[in-house]
Amino acid sequence: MTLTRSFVVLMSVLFFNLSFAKEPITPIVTPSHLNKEKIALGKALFFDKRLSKNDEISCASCHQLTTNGADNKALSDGVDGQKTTAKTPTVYNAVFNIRQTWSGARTDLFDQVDAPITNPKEHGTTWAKVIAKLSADKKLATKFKRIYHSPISQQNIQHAIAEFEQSLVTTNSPFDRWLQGDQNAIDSRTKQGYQLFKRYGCISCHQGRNVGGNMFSKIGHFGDYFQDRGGEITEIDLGRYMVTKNPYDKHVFKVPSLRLSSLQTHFFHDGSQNDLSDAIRVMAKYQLGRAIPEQDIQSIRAFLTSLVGQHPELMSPYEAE
Amino acid sequence: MKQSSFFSKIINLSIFFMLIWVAYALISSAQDDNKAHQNRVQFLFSSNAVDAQLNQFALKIIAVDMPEYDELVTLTQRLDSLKSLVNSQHSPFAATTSDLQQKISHYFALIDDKMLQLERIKTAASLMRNTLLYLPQLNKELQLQGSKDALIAQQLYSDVLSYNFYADEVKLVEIQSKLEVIGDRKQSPLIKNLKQHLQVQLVQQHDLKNLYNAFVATPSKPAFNTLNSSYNQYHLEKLQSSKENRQLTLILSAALLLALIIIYRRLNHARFSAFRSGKLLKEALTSIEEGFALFDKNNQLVLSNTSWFNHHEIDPDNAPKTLEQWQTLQSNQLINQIESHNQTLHCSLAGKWIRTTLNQAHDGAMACVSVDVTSFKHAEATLKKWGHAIEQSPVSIVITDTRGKIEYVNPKFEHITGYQLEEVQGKTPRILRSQVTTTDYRALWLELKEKGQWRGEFHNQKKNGEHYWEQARISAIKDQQGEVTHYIAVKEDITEQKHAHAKLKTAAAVFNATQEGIMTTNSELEITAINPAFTRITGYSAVDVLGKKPSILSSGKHDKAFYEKMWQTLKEQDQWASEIWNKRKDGSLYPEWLSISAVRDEDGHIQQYIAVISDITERKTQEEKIQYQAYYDALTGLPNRSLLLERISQSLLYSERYKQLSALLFIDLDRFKRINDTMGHEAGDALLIEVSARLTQIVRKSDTVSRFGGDEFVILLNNIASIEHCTTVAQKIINELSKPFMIHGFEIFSGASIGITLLPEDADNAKELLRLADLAMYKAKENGRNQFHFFAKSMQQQVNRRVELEHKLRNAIKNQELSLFYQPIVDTQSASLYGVEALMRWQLSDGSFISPAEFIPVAEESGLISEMGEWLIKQACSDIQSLNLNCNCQCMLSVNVSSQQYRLGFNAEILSTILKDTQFNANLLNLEITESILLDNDQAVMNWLQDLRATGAQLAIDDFGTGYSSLSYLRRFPINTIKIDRSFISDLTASEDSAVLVKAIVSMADSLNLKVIAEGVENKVQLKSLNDLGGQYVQGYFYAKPLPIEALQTWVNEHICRFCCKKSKLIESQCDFVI
Repeated sequence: MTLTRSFVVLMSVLFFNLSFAKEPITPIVTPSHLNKEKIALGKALFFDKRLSKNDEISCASCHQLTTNGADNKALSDGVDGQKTTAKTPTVYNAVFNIRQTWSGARTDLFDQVDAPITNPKEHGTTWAKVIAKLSADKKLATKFKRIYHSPISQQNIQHAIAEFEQSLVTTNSPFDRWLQGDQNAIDSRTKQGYQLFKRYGCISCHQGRNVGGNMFSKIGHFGDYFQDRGGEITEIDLGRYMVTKNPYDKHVFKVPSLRLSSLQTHFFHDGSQNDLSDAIRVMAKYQLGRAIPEQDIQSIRAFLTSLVGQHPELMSPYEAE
Repeated sequence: MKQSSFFSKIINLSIFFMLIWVAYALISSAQDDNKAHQNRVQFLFSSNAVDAQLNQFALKIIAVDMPEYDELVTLTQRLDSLKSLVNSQHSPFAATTSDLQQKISHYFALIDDKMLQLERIKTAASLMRNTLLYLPQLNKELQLQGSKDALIAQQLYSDVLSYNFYADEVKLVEIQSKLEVIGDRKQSPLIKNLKQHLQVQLVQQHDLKNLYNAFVATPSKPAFNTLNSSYNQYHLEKLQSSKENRQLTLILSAALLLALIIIYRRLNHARFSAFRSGKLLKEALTSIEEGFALFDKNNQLVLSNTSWFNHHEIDPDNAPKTLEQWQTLQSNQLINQIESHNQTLHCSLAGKWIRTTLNQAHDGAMACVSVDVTSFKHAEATLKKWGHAIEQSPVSIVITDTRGKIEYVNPKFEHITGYQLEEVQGKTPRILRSQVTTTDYRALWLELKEKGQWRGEFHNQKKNGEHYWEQARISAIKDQQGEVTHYIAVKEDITEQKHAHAKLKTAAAVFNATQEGIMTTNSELEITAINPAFTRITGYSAVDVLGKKPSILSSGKHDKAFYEKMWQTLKEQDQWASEIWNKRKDGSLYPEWLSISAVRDEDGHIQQYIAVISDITERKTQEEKIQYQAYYDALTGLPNRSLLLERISQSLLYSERYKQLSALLFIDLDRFKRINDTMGHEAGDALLIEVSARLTQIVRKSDTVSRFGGDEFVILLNNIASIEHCTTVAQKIINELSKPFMIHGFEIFSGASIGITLLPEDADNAKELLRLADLAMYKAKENGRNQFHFFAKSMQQQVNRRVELEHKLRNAIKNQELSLFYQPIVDTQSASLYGVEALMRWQLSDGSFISPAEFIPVAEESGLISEMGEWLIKQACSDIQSLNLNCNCQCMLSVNVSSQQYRLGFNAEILSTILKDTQFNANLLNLEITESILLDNDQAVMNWLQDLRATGAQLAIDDFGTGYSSLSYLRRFPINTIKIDRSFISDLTASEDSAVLVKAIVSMADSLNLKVIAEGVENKVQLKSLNDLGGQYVQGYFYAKPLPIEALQTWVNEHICRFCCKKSKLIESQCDFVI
């Protein structure tokens, strides 16, 4: 019965064109509880190639902070010339995600740090090796001793990097400023884009402060995405099923954040799209089951662009211009 | 005892702490339980809250009441942390039962499941929402296309909606059949899309329903309830059991503690009893003086007391433990004697004597007892010492029995008397008695018996018959009952002392009786003794001087060197003697003959000094009298010939050494012989006395007036300035002695003739000088009485001429032979006449001139200068007044004023009168004085000069530069002009020094605003030099020599323009005056 009642509410909302009392997107606020020393240590480790086999790569190799928190590739380069199996998601604002990785296999950032280190296609090493290498660095060991009051350990490394990643949030975006009351922060087209974004239903999944990242959804509600894409269906393509082993979760992925989507070159878990407009079209087709006119796509793009906030490491799109 | 109380304190304390600990353990375990329980309950509540929130969110999602899912992210994180906590070591349920843990796992599995379902609900809800959003638009598009299916689409849409509200299978089948119809018929994309969306909508509706149902059906609530009740059950059980445990523990602990306390108390009591009995034994042992040590049958020390250790001088802590070790210790002592089988005697290094006895006890143990016998040993030693003392005594000792029979004599007795012990044993000391003894033996015995001792002297006889004196002391020796057993006589040979005493007596008698004063001092020079003669001579009694220093006698007449020499002699020769002046008690000085001897001890150190004093005042007086008679004339008291000769010799020495001039005046009274003959010797003597008195008055004290013999006197004038002084004195003498004498009421006229010799010019010894003076005296007599005559011819001539000059001068004044000349003074700058100097000239009747240098001193000496000076000023003023009137000019007049005139009474008053009489302008008068008059710096002279200046006359210094030319007097005295001495001018061209001096004088005068007149300018060269040096006024032959007033008038007329006289211009054409 409750379900029925909810539908009445839903209908009234839709048909009487009532707006939400509260916007489904909220501004990003700078986290305040972080330890500066640990951030500094985490940052050093984030850029430290000793955290990989043969000192080939670091976290920052794929999560390029100046670009968009990820690289501009469909699939990234791991050790020994290998390619990763999924598109590298941005590390910016990752702290707001309900779970980490496309499939939500990792609980939080702390847990997530472990994933690429031992992944043979990514950092391809073991914690024992990493710890041995880092412990040989007396200066670093002293630093750990001072900050964590204990020798270098997997736990400490993960914690420090996670602490650093928590600080990677983009604030003060034009859209956030608009949300906070600055009517001139975005232009009318952007505003229109936002309205379209809501009206088309994109907002159903891409909401919250991270415009996504806080729920899971199947790719291809309408039509078969993978069939249309072609190619073999990999483990990665199975998505959350690999975590829950529930048939229902096949091809279910964590809805990605759209905060920095306008800075991305490649989209979706497989990096199959390399244009934002195309990505929007693909989304409309498979997720909304409809086509969006070109004019609206451009408006939505404008809206997406206004979501990009600022971080000292991130090269601002406005600067790039 | 201390230790045991310390232990008991520790035990008491530990029991106390145990009690505290038990209490603490009980309380803390209860607290621990409590806290863990709280944590668990908290955890369960949190978990339940997550579950509740999940339910709430699910409802919200279904109701499309969630615009965004960030809250779900937060919830997920909360769940994650709860899960990680429960899976970690720190899980609040870690210590609980496995059943509980299983239930928790189960519960969290359910919540996890719900979370996953919620995710699917989210997905499904979004999809359904989007489809619902799209369907009306699709329908609209179909209608716009005019599609036949628009209607059916509309119907389907409402069917789907109604199915949503009233979901039944019939409706679903109906909808699906309708969908198939659409799909079969047309394949337009719009229709196709519509169909797809409707199908998705249906599926999603279905799914969402199923999902939500499944979500709601998830039995998390029951699971929680089970868990909660299980836990509550667990907690209750736990609570119960822990309470029981605690009680049990408490009871057990209490019992344990009680037991402990009882045991401890019992132990303590037993220990105390044992300690008390042990203490008693120890106290008993400690209190005895004997050392005690007990060794068990294994020879181990088991008991000992303090005395034992003290006797062995061993620290109880380090003491040996076995009998053998103790015996070794004893045998190592300084003296170790074995007295018997079980008794030994030892003497330690410290001199402690210990006797140790060893006794076998019944059980094989050994008991040792030690006794300190040191005091006995010491007494023994003392006795031995006394024996030695008597044997080696330096005095004789005789011991007799009560009847006086000798029992013992010591070696000294044998040595003194010559008797051996064997010879005198059994005899009485009477054998020593000499025939001359004075000792009352009866009294001796009486006293000895009454008082137990006697003291006295014996005059005894040795074995060889020699007599000797003994001082004896006889004492009775009593036993313990007080009975006299023996007598002991201690005797000392005092023969030597007796003799010495006798000597001393004699010495003392001498000391007291002698006429010489005797004073002894110790080495510190403190007076130790004086004799009566000393008191008689010095007036000091023993009370006054004993302990004082001899310096109280010092007269102060002798210098330091005198006493230093005295001490030096004393030190070297141990004796010294000299005549010395000392002071009596009454302060009078007296001469004494002092003889001092130093007395040294055996080491050569001075022990005392003995001074013997003889008063030689009497002798001295005699000596002085004799000396006086030798050197002085008895009648007049004047030095006699002998002293005179000495004095002359001395004067000669001085004269030579210091280039002094002295004179000897040999005086012979005229007419003395006649007076003597006619009026008798007494009158002659009286005359001589009166003469000597007059002579003494005339001369200075440093001069010697002596009576040479008869009516001859000789005066020695020491260190005279000039011969004039000598002649003055001679003249005075003649004058004085020419005056009448009153002798015995008669006026007597005498007179004197004097012969003079000069020292050291005339002779180099006294006798020759006297002879020559005598000779000169006769010469004087020859020239008539009341004359003096120099021995030296030149002197005599000089005197003669001076007398002659004076005579002539008097006549000259009378006859007006003196005249005035005037020398012009020229102002070279204006080439005019400045003034004239008036100079006195004396022209004899034969036409010759006598130089002023010759007659002025005579005039000054004779006092004629006074008259002459006044005349000069008067005349000159008169002359120049008329000159000035004649020429109508202001010619200055310079006149010389001598210091003699000042003495003779010339003053401002006289000057004023003259000026008044002559009507001469005082401002034109220049009084020239010499530097010497200023040098005395006499206030009277100063006043005199100032008075003169006050008349309007000016003052000039004559002959400046020849005396003590001093700037200071120029400033002090009211001087207007300086006249540079002619000697500078004559040297001016030859000597550079003169030029510098003149230049200095001129510039100095300039600065003091004085005029400078240069004297004695004789030629043009001098004049030019002078002009170059700045000299303005010039006097000298170059211009004119001194001229009589008539000639001066003529000179002025010739050289000075008559009309320009006021301007004082010299006529250039007639004389080369101007440079």
